[in-house]
Order: sequence, then C-alpha cells, then structure tokens
Amino acid sequence: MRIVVCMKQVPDTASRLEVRGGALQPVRSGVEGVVNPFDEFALEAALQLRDEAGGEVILLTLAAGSVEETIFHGLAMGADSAHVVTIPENATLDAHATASLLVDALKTLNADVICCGERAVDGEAAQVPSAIGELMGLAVATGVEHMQPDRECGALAVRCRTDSAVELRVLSLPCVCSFIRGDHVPRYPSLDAIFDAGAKSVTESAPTMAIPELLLHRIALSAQEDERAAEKIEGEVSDAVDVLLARIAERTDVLV
Amino acid sequence: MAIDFTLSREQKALQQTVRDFSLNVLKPIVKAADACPDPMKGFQMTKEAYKKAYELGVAFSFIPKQYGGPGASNIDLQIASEEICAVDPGFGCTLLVNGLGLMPLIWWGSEEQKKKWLTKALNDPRKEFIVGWVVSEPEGTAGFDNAAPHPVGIQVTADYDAKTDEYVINGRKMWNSNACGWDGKGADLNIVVARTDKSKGGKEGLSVFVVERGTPGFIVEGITDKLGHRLTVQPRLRFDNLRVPAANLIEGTKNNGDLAITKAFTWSGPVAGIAAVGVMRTAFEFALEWSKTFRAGGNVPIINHQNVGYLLTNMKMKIEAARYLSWRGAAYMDSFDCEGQEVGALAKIYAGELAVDVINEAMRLVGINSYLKDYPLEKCMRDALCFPIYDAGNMGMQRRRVHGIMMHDTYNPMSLAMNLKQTFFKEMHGISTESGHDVKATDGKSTAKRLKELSLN
Repeated sequence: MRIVVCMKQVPDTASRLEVRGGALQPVRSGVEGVVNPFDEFALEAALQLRDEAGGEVILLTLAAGSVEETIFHGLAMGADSAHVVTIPENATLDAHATASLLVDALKTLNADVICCGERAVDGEAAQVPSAIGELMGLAVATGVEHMQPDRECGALAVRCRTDSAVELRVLSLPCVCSFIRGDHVPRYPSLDAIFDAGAKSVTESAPTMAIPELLLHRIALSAQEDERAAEKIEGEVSDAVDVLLARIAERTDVLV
Repeated sequence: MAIDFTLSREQKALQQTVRDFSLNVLKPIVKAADACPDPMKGFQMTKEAYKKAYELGVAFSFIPKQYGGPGASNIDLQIASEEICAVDPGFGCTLLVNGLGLMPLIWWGSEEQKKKWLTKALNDPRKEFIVGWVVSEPEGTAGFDNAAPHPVGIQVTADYDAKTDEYVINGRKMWNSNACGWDGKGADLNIVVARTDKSKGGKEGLSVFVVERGTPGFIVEGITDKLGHRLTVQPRLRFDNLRVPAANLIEGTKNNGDLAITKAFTWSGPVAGIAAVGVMRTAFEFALEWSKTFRAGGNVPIINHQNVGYLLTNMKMKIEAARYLSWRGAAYMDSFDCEGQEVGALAKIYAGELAVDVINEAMRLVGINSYLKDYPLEKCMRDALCFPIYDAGNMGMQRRRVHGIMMHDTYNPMSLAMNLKQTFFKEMHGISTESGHDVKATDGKSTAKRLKELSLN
C-alpha cells in the first residue's frame, strides 16, 4: 500500500502570533517552524497502517523555504521517503491553491491512501483534505480517529468523530483521510530511526502548473486580543478542579 | 569548521526525543520513586520508564552500529544525558552504568565475545536487559596498584582452575550499580573486576569477567540506602566460589583490568559532568522562575534586586562552563577512540563540584522555602552531593589520575587545546596509597626537554 502523508511546517505552536501594522502575513522571522501537530497524527496513522498492511509511507510537502527539519522529523518518525514541491518564497496560497499544487504532485505519486491532518494550526481552515478529494474525485473521510485496512473489501475502514456522533465508514481506494489525534499518538523517534533518517530518499520538484489564482483573498489581519487572560476560579478546590478541567476540554482539541 | 557548537539535525532530533521521553515518561514517576523508603522498590518503580528507554534505543545507545546498536557518539550521549538528568540523574545513572559495563567489552572483547553479549543486550523481547559494573569494594577501589602480601583496593579474587578451564571468584563488592537486576537476583550481565594474580599489584594482576545472570555463587547481601540518586540501585554483593568459564574473561583485559577501570571511568567522566549540568539546569530554571514571581513581601518580583540578578548570573556562568567542558571531553574522546583520561576527569571533577556550589546558590536565592520537600531544590542538592564522590570519586580516583598524567614525562599541557592524542600509560595511574610504590616522578630535566621539543617554554 502506498500511503502519502501531506505535511505542513507551521510556526511553533508555543510562540505568540505577531502582526505588524497592516501586514497580511504574521511575522515569521525568529519563529521556529514545527510540524503541524495534526499532520503528526496523520503520519502516525499512516505508519501504523503500513506496519499492519505493508507498503511504504511517503511524505509530501510544499516548501516556500527550508523545510529540512520538518522532513527530517517525519523520516525519523519512520516515513520511508519524502517528496518536496518547491514553490516561490513569496507565493501566497489559499486552500484551493494548496490542494491544487498537492494534487499536481499526487498525480505522480500513485497513492492508495492520502493522509492529512484535519487542519493546520496556523490557517485553521480545515479545507485542504476535502479539496484534494474533490479535485481528484476520491472518497474523503474527515475527523478520522482510527484507521485500519478492511481486507475483505480491499478498502479502508475508518472511525470518524463529529461533534455529536461517532461514525464507522469504509472507503474505496484511493481515498483521502484527515486526522484528529484519536488513537494515533505520535511515536517518539527512536535513536536508530534518527540516525538512519539522513540516508532516506528526499526528492524535489517544481510544480508542473502555475501557482493558482487566489479564490480567497485576505483583506485584513490582526492578532486576537487575549480574551483568555487569567481567570481566577473561585470555590472549593475539588469544584474548582472540575471547572478547570471543563475549561481545558473546551479549548484544547490537540492536547486531550 | 573545526570548532562548532551547532547541533546537527540528528542531534536536535535526539534531544527532542529524549526530552519528550524525560518529561512525559520519566518525570511522572520521579517524585514517588525518590520518596520511596525502600531503595529496591524505588528502583523497581523506574522499570516501565526503562523499558521505554530500551525501546527508543536510549538504554544501549553507545553500542556501535557494526554490532547492531544505534552507534551514538560521545557528543550524542552528552545531549541525551543532559535531558534525562535534568529530570532525574539517578535514572541517568542506571543507563550510564550499562555503558560502564559494556564499553570494556567493546574495547577489549574478542569479536566472538562482543557478538555474543552485545547481541543479547540489544535483542531482549522483555526490553529490560540491564548490565552491572562491578568494580568497587567495601575497602575502596582507588589504590588498586599494590601486590600481596598487603594488596590494597581490589580484593575480590579470581583463581584459575585448570581442570575445568574456569575461574573461581570469591570476595565482596559494594556500590555496583544495577548489579542486582530488577528482581534482586542479578543483572542480565555483570562485568566484574577481580584479581587474577595475587602475587602482582593492580597494574599487572587485575582482569575483567562477564558474569551472566543465574550463575551460582552470586549473592546479593543487601541494598544500600542513599541520600539521593534514589532511582538507581546499588547492592552489596558476595561471590561465593562463583565459577565462570575462562572464555568469560574479556580477552584484552587479562592482567590489564587497571586500564579497563581507568578507561571506563574516563569514558563516563563527561557523562557524569553533563549529568551535573542537567541538575544545575533544573535548579537554575526553578530559581529564575522563582525570582520572576516571588516578591518576598515587596512591591516587585525579587529579580528586580541587584543581588538576585548577580546570583543568577554566577549560576548561569558556571553551568555554561561545565556544559562546554563536558562537551569538550566527549568531543576529544570521539576523536581518539574514547581515550582522554585527563579531560574526562577534568570534566567530571569540575561539573560535579560546581553542581553543589550552584545548587547552594539557588537555595540561598530562594531562601528557606528551598529546604521544603514541596520544591525541587532539596532533591537537586541531595542528588548533587553524589557527583563529587561517585563514578570514581573526584579525590580518590579522578584527581589522582590527572596527577599521575601530569607527572609523566610525556605530558603535554597543550594536548587538549591542540587536540593532540595523549597516550595513557599504566604508570600514569597516579601515586600509590602505600609508601614505596609511588610512580616514578619526573626528573624535571626531561620535562623541560619535552616542553622544549613542543616549543612551549
């Protein structure tokens, strides 16, 4: 089974977003790049699928600058190879353009399963996985928390979570899945894997198409006022802990 | 670039993996294991974390690739060890001792011996394989250079039995980390230094053996109870006519056990140094956070006071100096096949003694609250007090070795700065603890000549 994992490098989730006077992009310089956490869930799911069903895991990323550490991290976690699509450093992409460029590369990668994070923690649009499916005419499952091969049907079985339901689905191959954390807790790269990662194949190409016109234009950007400033929870400690846990659960979908 | 402190992408990934492991797997068990009154149980509480470390390749990271190991360099070990020891140096000690035991096998074992035991260490389906390093004895280890009738230091004997082609080991040992294994019945392998020739001094009469778990005559008499480093275990051992095949004598150590002891404790020197850095780092970060939040009844956090800022500066300066001397020791050993008997000792002595000093400064800064069990500094201090006296004590073994090296005619004071190989000779072990057995002191003239040759005077 050929499993392609789309990975995006995002600003470190621990860093503070800064927007300077009227700019349409946040300040990136001095902010460390990390792997989009949702993409790590997708990669872990892909690695588990490969380990169970055989095959290979290929990382795919669009790079407007250095993505070396993102790719290295993915290879150290256990991906077999990586493909980097280099785009101009000043390119501006919306979800449609991102998906179009990924599909341009995916056409030559012959994936059986395309795994993506449910969303990227910088843009938070959660549109790219569905757009890939739409552009390629493939089945899409979003919010996947568990994936396994369905050998009887030669397909893929997934469990998806929505706000109000848990749904089991079977997808014909090829297909696109977007992942939440679910059962796929990203593994720590082992020392062996880290020391072997540098020898794995990383290929690069430019898109075979022009950068698509934007369908969506950002017209203003400002950093959100920190409305979640410190709040003191009053009352008995045991009650306060319950309130605190409820607050965390409301606001943290990556960590729980 | 010859001098470059930039971490490679592999080293950054290694640092992240070990940091994640230390914070998410190790840290949650540290408080309870440290507080456990039974030292054996405290050690056993670390077993699940150890299995995870084994799975990640951290437990035997130093085994070279050619024997199936991860092949971590000494610098890689520095990066990993700091992360672990910032959370708990006792657990770090457990891992370090796997290396103290197996490195002599890697350096001096025959190919057959290496394949046999290194393969076992790396392929344990239980993921709990552990190695003991069995050198120290109740009467001390430092003066291992004297012969009968008054041998000092290593008293455990290994007599050859020609009829069975075995060695028969007898005597008592102490401070042998990991040696009792997880269940108190013995580590999977114990690497044991014993006197194979009672008529000779330690420079000619010591050899190193591999004792496999389950060998009759291996007796755990008790577990020592310690002030700090409570997550690592040290039994009191007795060998009662314990028989090992002659093939278990690590080939190149026959009558060279002294070199094995010295080189093992050289290799571990910078690791112990960076362990001290890890503990200092934790103490510093706590003191910094405290300074930025505690007001001591005043209007502003205490970091706004000059004295606090200067104390923090002192601490940071010492931590950075200790870190880079430890790194330097490791880099030197990476250049010269783990030789580096001078710098290994220097890193270990310096960082270990600074740790006590720096944590004392952190405690002075925080004040009486630092003495509470509620905060991390009291544990940092308990753990740090071990650094100057464990892993070949700074006085008895480390300074003694540097002293011996400096006395030797071939000593070049610039060898570290110029990255030149400094060959270690047996007579560099240092002064004896009995009169009449001192190493031949330099006559001064030859040293002057030597320095002239090196154009240093």
